[in-house]
Amino acid sequence: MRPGLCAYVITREHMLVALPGMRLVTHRGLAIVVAEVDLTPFAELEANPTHWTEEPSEDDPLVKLARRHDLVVRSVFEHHPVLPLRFGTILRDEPAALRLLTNHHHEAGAWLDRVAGHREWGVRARLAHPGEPDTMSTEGMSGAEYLTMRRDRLAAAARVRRDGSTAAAALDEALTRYATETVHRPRKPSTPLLDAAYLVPADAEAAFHAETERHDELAVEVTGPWPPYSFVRLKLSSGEVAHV
Amino acid sequence: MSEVCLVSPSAAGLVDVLDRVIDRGAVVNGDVIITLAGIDLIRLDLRLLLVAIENA
Repeated sequence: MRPGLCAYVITREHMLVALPGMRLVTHRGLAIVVAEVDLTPFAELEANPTHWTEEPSEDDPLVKLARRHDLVVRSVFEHHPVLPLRFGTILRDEPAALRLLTNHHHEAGAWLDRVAGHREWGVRARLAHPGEPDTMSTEGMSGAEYLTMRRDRLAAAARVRRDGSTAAAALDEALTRYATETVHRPRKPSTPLLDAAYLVPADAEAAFHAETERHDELAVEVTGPWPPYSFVRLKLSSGEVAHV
Repeated sequence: MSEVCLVSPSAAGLVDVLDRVIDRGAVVNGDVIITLAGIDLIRLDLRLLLVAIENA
């Protein structure tokens, strides 16, 4: 057993931590949720991406640790605003956790104010009817007929893609109106037309969800509610040089 | 009515969980222990891994 202090979230100081083994290190109204953990499973994680050729399963050691991290973040998030820390944040000791809070008290407090009363929702949209595969027989067609058929099909496919992009942009614009903040995932050729996360205030959630159902040409997948993971852009420091 | 499916993060969305937990969240520098066998290396490689999963 190699003990270490795993840090999960910064939140407002409160009395109860939902999960056993967790404790709060507090400073002027803010708290960092930590737990003594055995670092061995972290050190033993399979870190070589070539081993990950298949979909990860729930039995995987990384998935178990990541699920645990998410569970802790969620258990705090249920009752308090949270600033999630990245998975695998291992601090030296409690004084290091306290330094972290002291150094970033203002920043962290402002963040918690900003996300209070909000939840994150993930939205992906694809074409509802991406078009039939090319199955028509070309037998007996003349060269000119074949070329015409090909041109028409390419034009039709381009039109479908264009219409899909327009619909996805309209959906995004409408959802953004209900959100305090929006984050788009980088587009790759294989990714959906829309892949975004929205930070939505509680009183706008109903309207937000109604909007996701209003776009017939799109297949929309909604995930959430999430703690505001996708909106953190902070680099924190406990103020000492790393021990490399 | 479009096709909307609501995914509960606790039941599904494993890649979504990994993506958020590993790739988001505040990064702490300073005396985060990176002496330990490969913790920091792991963190870097986990992000590569995520790219590998998403492109699979």
